[in-house]
Amino acid sequence: MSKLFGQNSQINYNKNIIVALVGNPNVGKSTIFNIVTGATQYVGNYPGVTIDKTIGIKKYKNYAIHFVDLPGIYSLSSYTDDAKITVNFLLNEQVDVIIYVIDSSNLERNLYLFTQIIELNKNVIIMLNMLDLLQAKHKSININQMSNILGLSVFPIIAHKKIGIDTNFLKHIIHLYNNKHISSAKVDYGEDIICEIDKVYKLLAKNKDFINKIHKTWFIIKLLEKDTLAIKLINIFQNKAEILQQVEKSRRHIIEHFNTKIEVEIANKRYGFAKAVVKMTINKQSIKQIDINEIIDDYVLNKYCCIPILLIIIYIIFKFTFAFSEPVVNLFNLFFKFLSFKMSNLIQNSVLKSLIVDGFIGGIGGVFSFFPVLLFMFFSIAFFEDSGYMARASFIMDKILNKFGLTGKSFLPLIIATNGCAVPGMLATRTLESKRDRIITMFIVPYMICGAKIPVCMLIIKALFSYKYQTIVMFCLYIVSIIVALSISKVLSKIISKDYYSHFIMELPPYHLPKLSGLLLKMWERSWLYIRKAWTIVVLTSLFVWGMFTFTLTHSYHNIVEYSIKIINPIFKPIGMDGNKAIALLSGLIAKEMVISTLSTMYSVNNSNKHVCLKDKIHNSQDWSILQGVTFIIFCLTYVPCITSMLIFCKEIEKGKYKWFTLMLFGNTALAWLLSFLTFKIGTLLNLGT
Amino acid sequence: MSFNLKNYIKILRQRCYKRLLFLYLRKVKGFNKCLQCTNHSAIIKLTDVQFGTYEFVMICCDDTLEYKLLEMGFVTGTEVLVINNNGLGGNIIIKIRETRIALNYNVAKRILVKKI
Repeated sequence: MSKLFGQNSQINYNKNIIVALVGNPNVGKSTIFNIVTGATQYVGNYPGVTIDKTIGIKKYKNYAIHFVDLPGIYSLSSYTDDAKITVNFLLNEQVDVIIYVIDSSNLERNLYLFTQIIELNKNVIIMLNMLDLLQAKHKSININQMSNILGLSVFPIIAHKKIGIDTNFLKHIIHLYNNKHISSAKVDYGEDIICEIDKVYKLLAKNKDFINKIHKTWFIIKLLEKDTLAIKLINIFQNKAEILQQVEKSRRHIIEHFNTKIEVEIANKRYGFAKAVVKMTINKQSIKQIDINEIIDDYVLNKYCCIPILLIIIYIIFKFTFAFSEPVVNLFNLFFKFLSFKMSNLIQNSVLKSLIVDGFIGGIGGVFSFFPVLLFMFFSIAFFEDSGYMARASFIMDKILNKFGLTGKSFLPLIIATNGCAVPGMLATRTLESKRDRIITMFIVPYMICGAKIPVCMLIIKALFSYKYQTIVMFCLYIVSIIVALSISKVLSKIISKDYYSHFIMELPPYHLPKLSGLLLKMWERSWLYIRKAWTIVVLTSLFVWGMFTFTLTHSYHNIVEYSIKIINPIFKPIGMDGNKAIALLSGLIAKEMVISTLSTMYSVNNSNKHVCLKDKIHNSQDWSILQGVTFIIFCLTYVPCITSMLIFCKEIEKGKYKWFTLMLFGNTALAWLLSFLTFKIGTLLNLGT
Repeated sequence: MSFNLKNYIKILRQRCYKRLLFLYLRKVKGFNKCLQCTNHSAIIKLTDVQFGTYEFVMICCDDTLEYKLLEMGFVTGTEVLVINNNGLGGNIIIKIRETRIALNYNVAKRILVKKI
């Protein structure tokens, strides 16, 4: 019992107020959150569920008000994962005040969720956002009237212009915290449904300690709707069987009476309430005006123009990323060179010098050398996401991705992973409703050429191909990665479920110009996931690899490296790889960034000439023909993803994770081996690039 | 060998003919034409309608999709404005309760509407 309604949370509740921001998706909850908490305190993430629940603290009059930004939902049920997060938070945590944010240009649907929120019996404040959009539609809203009808205080605001958010509502929150005030508004469900609710309540009331904690109407309706969350809660009851029997009976009764399912009937009643409130509060002036969104959509979503426009925008994203990140990357490299030069002059002890210069600075430098690419990529994606185009893009891609067993919503995770990082890409799959789509999308996300794989490809392409062909080869690699990913998703979709049709339902947000602060925040959020991974895993392993090479290679001949090369040689021999490459690929299991740093460590330890850069070493080396280089890249692109993304993958999948983990580990390796074997053998037969 | 080839051509032609006939029928004697000719308020699939205002009747699908649509506001009797049915692969955009919603073909063909 205590687990379900637990007080075991990370927040310290003493003398604090917990305020949850709830609302439909895309109504401006996060904007309000950022304005209110602002630069005052930390904006931290909960451990575990990283980017979904954000808390920020605002201190006001000796009270610490914890604002919790929750993912947007359409109703309080548990169909999608991000909705589950919100529902679980509202039910299990001790929320003092709920701020219900309403997009006033879309009042009716927003009030539908509101009818469920008031049934939770908590303090609620309404924030009417986007009043300017309402005015643009020549409508006005009677706020006093609305406040009277709903029995709550209503705050009209325009969040993105910071109008209306002042200390007034903070005072009101504190007032509500001290004196509980519950909305007087109620949805009239009609006699029949209320009668059934009472019947179930009588059975529930037998469990006395439980009934005090429950939100009566809401919970029973959820039970009648056979919501999985509600059924799970009922499992601990003694008279569980009796209750379920009554629920079945009530459902049958309502179907007989209304000739529809109870879910439909309840939604009907709730929307009736919402419609009535809208009718009473909104004054319409019937002026027909042109909607700019529809004009843009006419072109962007046209049958003939949509694909070219999408391609142009993807091109813009890539061009922007590479054009702007290149000077920054160079600057970073210069800085690290300068740092290592200074350090090597400062420190006399040779082992310590090697540790700091080769191991530490080399490791961090390797990680940060492509970090700007990631930043700019995330920035440009955030730009198009905030402007409202990405919703359209996934709508366009839906038909194409459907052919490969995915839905349009898989597009955003895939594009985040390209040039970006697979970890935020996998977390972005949370918006996908169906479990099957999520698993397939998460499975193929690591196949995209992520930011960490770019330097590996670049290094080998630059070393082996002449300048003329470098761009074309890189482009071909992108195509290869996409083809591999899509064919895998096709195969997986055939395996998982055959009789399945994808639903794609997406609200198209209005276009607007994104704000810089919002873009930077989003960019930082996604990059932070990467940085955290880099600090912990990559730096440690690069130190480990450094230690292994310096200490073993100099002291004895028959060392660990040589021994392990001997073991794995028969596997890598048929695909034309020698021991050095095999070791580099093995270290890439931990993170793809490691491939380059391992190669450079190995060549610098083996080679007498330490001042030649890695590119030239590969260029002059006997071991690297063009074919071998291409095989190496293809193996690198398709084999096991880095350890962090595998862990995230397992964490996100609840059921059968070991099965998927094994498939990812061995299936990918087998596939990579097969692909590179084919490339190598065909290349050798046709005498290409040997 | 020659017999086989002839057979194939025959089957192919039959298929093409069927498809063409089907397209022709859909164009001429489709529901929409029916509606325009007779002004009869029949119940039609959302994929077959043209630009205009309709009334949502019901959806024939599994529970998950039905609840999802319910919470988006698809309640019997709601006005549905079809904005764009010219999307890629039969995907359409509608406006319901002041919100523009994109639906793919698989969803749209399960939604039944009625001309007001």
